[in-house]
Parts: sequence; structure tokens; C-alpha cells
Amino acid sequence: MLRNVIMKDLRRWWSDRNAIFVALLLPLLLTAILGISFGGFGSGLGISAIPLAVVGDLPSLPRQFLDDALREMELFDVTWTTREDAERRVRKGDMRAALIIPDDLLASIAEGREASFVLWKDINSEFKAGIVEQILERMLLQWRAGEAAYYGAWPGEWYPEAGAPDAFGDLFAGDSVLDVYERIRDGSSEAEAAWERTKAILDRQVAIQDAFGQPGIDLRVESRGGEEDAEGATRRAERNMFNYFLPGMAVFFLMFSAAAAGADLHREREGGTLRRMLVSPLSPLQLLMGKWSFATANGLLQLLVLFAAGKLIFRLNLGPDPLALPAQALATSAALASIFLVLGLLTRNEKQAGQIGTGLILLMAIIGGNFMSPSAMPAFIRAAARFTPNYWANQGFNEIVGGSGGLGAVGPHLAVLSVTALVFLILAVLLLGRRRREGGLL
Amino acid sequence: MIKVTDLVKSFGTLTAVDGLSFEVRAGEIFGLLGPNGAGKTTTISVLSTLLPADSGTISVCGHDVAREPVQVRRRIGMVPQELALYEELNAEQNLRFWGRLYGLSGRRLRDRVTELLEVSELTEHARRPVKGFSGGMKRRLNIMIGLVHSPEVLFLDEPTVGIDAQARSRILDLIRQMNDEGLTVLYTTHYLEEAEQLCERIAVIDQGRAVAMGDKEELIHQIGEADLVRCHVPRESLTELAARLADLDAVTSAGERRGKLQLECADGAALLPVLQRELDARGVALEQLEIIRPNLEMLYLKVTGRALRE
Repeated sequence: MLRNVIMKDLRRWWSDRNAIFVALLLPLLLTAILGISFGGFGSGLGISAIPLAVVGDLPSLPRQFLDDALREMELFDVTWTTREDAERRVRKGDMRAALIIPDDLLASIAEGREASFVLWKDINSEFKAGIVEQILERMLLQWRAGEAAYYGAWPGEWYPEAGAPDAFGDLFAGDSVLDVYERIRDGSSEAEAAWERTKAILDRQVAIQDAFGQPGIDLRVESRGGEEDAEGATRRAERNMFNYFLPGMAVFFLMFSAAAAGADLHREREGGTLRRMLVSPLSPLQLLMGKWSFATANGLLQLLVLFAAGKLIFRLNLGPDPLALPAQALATSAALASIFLVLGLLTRNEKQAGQIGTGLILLMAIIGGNFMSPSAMPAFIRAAARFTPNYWANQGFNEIVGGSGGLGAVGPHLAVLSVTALVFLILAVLLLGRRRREGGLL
Repeated sequence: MIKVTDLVKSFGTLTAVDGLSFEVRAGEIFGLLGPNGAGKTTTISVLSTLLPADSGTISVCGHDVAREPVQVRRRIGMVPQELALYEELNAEQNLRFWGRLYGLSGRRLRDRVTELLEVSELTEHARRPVKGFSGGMKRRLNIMIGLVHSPEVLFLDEPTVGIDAQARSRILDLIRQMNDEGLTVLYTTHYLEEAEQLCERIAVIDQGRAVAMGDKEELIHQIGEADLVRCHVPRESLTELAARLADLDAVTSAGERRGKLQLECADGAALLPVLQRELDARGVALEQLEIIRPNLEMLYLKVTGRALRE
């Protein structure tokens, strides 16, 4: 009986050319436009946290310091591990890069000796591993600059003959070599004092310059993974901008399909078929489950067709795990089907459901990151995003097309979406019972 | 087949059905006649288990509607006022969907769909999307869907609304045909002619109450058996003629009504030679004559004080 209701609704839906256009062609078209506009296949941005292994035996404080520094950018998914595991995972493609911290790092710093970080880059992940390299280079440069500033402030540690360490206050007194020279010329300063002053300033500047030339911490880059392997092509797909846009567009348009399915109760009611079904042996619960199952099946089909088309047209990366995408698509469809079924039962007619539904979709799309990553938004929107189902859908799909998301990686997203689906489905059942008792289904 | 006793159904402060009682016998076409808002659709909704009654008892096919709704649903067919069809699907797909809901499948379903398409003369259009059908075709299909599971009782809620006279006539023929095969029909309408043509017994409903009930002859008897004869004669002769004709034995009453001479008599046709003689004797020319037999419109006017379509 349930299958009969689902098949009937699927037939009705697929006979509607406008619905097919909105559900399938429009998302592909917009993805093509946005993808080509922002770089197409050749370049672009990463879309999910880059898996980075860190190897090193540091005391807890410096370890925490480094860990915080790496994580606060929200660009890396940091895993502390052993050297062997890091190498294996980089070669396998589970990690885009591994940072190897030398064992004598702290001793080298203390003794002014040179130390080298080693970065193992996945050869098949040129783009994301390149991001890791660039960011680590920048972090080390900042370290070096900080070190230089320190020695500039206290040049005595480099040049003991310059006397006791000076103070920052003196450094920022407004003097420059040119200021001192002008005071000697106009006779307002004695030559000997002016000379001492000039020497002190020059000592600091030379100390800063020398600090940059002294042995410090550098970054040595090595490739891992040998020749490009079979999975290399998949991981190279991370550069594909269509990977970035298609999931967002697919989920955005899925919300419209789910809203239309939710509002179908009103169409059935206004057309008299709902009355007819309620007189049949079909129970209201079966009717509701039929509507929900249709919306879920339809959404699943829509997403799978979209991603398959994306794979064919845009060389979309569908991730390493063949189960991850269907599972994520199913959970997403189920959650959205439940939510819009509730909306359908809360509204009075199709027009009202359509208007409120469209507003809700646009709001959720903006907050949940269908147009722009929530990480680029203010903190309160980032917090609010977690209460939208499309956020979890987008994050899950991004994990998958980012090339790193197996079933385990999308697990948390699946869990949130599944719970959402269940909670709203129960709510829909309760609302249906109430409306039926009040005659609101006639 | 259907027994309704003291049915009451309210929506907030509005009492839609107010103590309605009637009985429908097996194999008859029973009409609920009344204007829009009289409570006909609410009554059908309660009888078909769509709405719970506030009070009263209802039994359909021997099953209590409140206690055994599932058994009732399996035995009734419903044809709502709306065209309850899936316009994106074709006629055959519509019938198949509803048939499957009632548990039909395989050859049984196929044969039943074929039979209903033939009966409704839609076989040639079976594979066409319903959205391309005429109003009459849609109405016929709407009725066939109500019959797909061969119910014992069919509820028809204003099934001819919005279609032309020819299509209406075909639908009424179709209902008679089904009834001849043993189907019990509960038919709601606000068209007097339909109720008169189709229904063996009728309950006239007004403001949720049955104001008259019985077969057509019984109902007409309630308003008396007089015919009305209306004559259009020159205005100056009206008063004298009315006085003269009122004295005749065959005439119950005579008078002027809206500029016409109106006579009430037992048999209008038998009065005509007498009337002609009186007119000839006075040299009065008869411009127009109308004989009105007692009908439900007159009954409705009598029991409610207003015309059915007011």
C-alpha cells in the first residue's frame, strides 16, 4: 500500500517538467555558471579542513601551543601520530601532508642551532599539500620575525660590547639616526652623546638584520606517495571548483523539492483526493508515511542523479567510499522531507505553505552555508548554522567531494540528520492526528 | 443499509447537522436535497468516517461508524464534490492506484479497470492524461473511482456540479445503471430535477435538519395535490374572471398573482375546456397558459418559506 502511494507520487512528480527543471537542470546550470566563474577545473579553494598529521615528541606546553596555532585557522584537521603511521597515511592519501618536528627542536632553539621541520607532502594532492606548505612557511617566518624583534630589543645578547640590554621604551623614543644627525648639526646635542646614541640605534638594526641570518628553524619539504597512483586523479579533483558549488546547489534545490512534497498534502486536500484516501482502508499514518517516503525517495534520487551528472559533466569527486554519498543523500533527504512535512501540516493552504517554505529555504540556505561557507560568517551565524539541517548536509557532502570523507568521516553529519528526520517525523504524526480530529484535513 | 439516528455535528458555534435521522434501504437511491450549506456534505463526511459525530448513532452496512470505521470504509465508495483525480496521471493509472488502495491486484484489478473504463465510455481515452479530459469525462471517471472496489454503498456528493446538460444526463444514466445492478446510493444535490428524476426517496434538508422525507409522491402529498393553472389574460378582465371561476366546483381557489390569473385545482388538464368556455363567453383572448404540477420546489418553498436557490 505504501509502495502504491510512493509510486503514484513519483509518477506525478516526474510527469511535471517544471519540477524536473528546478530539481535537476537548474542546480547543474547554476553549478556550471558558478564553477566556471570562479575557476572551473583548474584552480580554486579547498572546501574542507585539510587532514594534516603531526609527528613530534614535545613537552605538553609547546605541543599545546603548536596544536592551537595549527587549529585556530580552521584550515587543518590535525592528528598527532607516529612517524610510521604518518608516512603510511600520507602515502595512502588519508593525510594530505605530515609535519615532522625534530627531536632536538627545543635544544636547538636554546643553543641557537639550526633546526629543520620536515613536511611530507602527498604527491597526489598538490593543491591542499601546497596550502599546508605555504601556511607553515608563513608560521615559521612569523616565528623568525618575533625572534628578530627580541634581539633587536636586547642587542646585548648578540653584541655583548654594546652593554646592558636596552629597554623597549628607549627603542620607541622617536629617535632615528637622522634625528640624531640633525641634533648634532643644529648644535642642540653634544657630538659624543649623539654618537653613543647613534651606535645604540645602529646596534639594534644590525641585530635585527643578523637575527634573520642566524641559524633558526627552517622547513624541508619532501614528497611522499611516489608516482601518481590510481587514486591520485580523485585527490587531484580537490582543485575542481565544481566540487565546491555542486553540493550547496544540490541541497538548496532539494529543499525546494522537499517543500513541494510537503505542500502536496494541501494539493491533495484541495483537490479532494485526500478526502478520498481517508475514506479508503489507508490509515492516516500510512498516508503520512507514504508522503514522507515519497519525499525521501524523490530527494535521494534527485541527489544521486545530480551527483552522478556532476561526476560526468564536472568530473566531480565522489569520495573514496561508495557508501558515503548514498548514506549522506538518504539522511539529508529524510531530514528535509520530515521538516517540510511538518511545515505542510502547520500551514493552512498551499499558498501559505509555499510562501513560508520559500522564506525558510532562503534563510536556511544563507545561514547553513549553501551560498557561502559559514566559516566566513560572524560567530553568531556560525553558531546558528548548526541548527539548520542543510548545514550538516553541506558539511557531509563537502567531506565527501573533498576526497577525505568516508562513511566514518560523515558519521556525525549522518547522525544529526537522522535524528532530525526522526524528531520531525514524530512531530508530523502528532500534528496529523490533531488536524484530523479537528477536521482540518477535509 | 444506512441508519442515521439523531446525528449532531457542530464546528465551533455553528451547528452543521442538527438532530438528523433517516434510513436508506438496500438497493435504493436515496437523495439528500438542500441548498449549499444545508449540511449535506457534513452528513456524508460523518457517514464515511471522515468526521466524528458529536452525538447520534450511525450504522452503515451493519457496522457502527464510530466503533468500526475500517469495516465501514471497506464497504463504501466515495465520490466527493471535487474532481478527486490525479490530473497528471491517465485514466487507467488513476483507477489502478485507487484499486490497489483497496487491495485489488493482478488480473482482478485489470479486469475491473477495463470494465469501468467500458461502462464510463472512457476506454479510448484510458492512456490519456486526465488533464486533457472534458468536464463530463472527468466527472465520469470521478464516479468510476468510487466504484473501483465494488462497494455496497456509494456516496455521491453533488457529482454533476459544473457540467452541461448532456454530460449530466449521461452521469444520471450511469448511476441508474449501477443501481440496477444492486448498488445502494446516497446522493446529495441541490438540483431538484436530479432528485426528482433519480431518487426513490428523498430527505429535504435545511439548516442541518430534515424538514421533509419520503418518496416523491409522499412528499408532494404533503403540500396537497393541487395543480396550478396560470393564464395570461388582459388585465381589465382579471378580477371578473377570477370571481367567476372561483365559483366552479373544479376550482379550489382563483385569484390574481403577478398580473396573471392563477387557479388551483385537482386536475389542471381537465379544467381547460371549462376555462376556454368561460373566456369565449366573455370575449376574452387567452394570451398564454401554464399548468404547474406539484413538485419539490413547491414543497421546499412550503416547508422553508424560501426557494431552494435563494
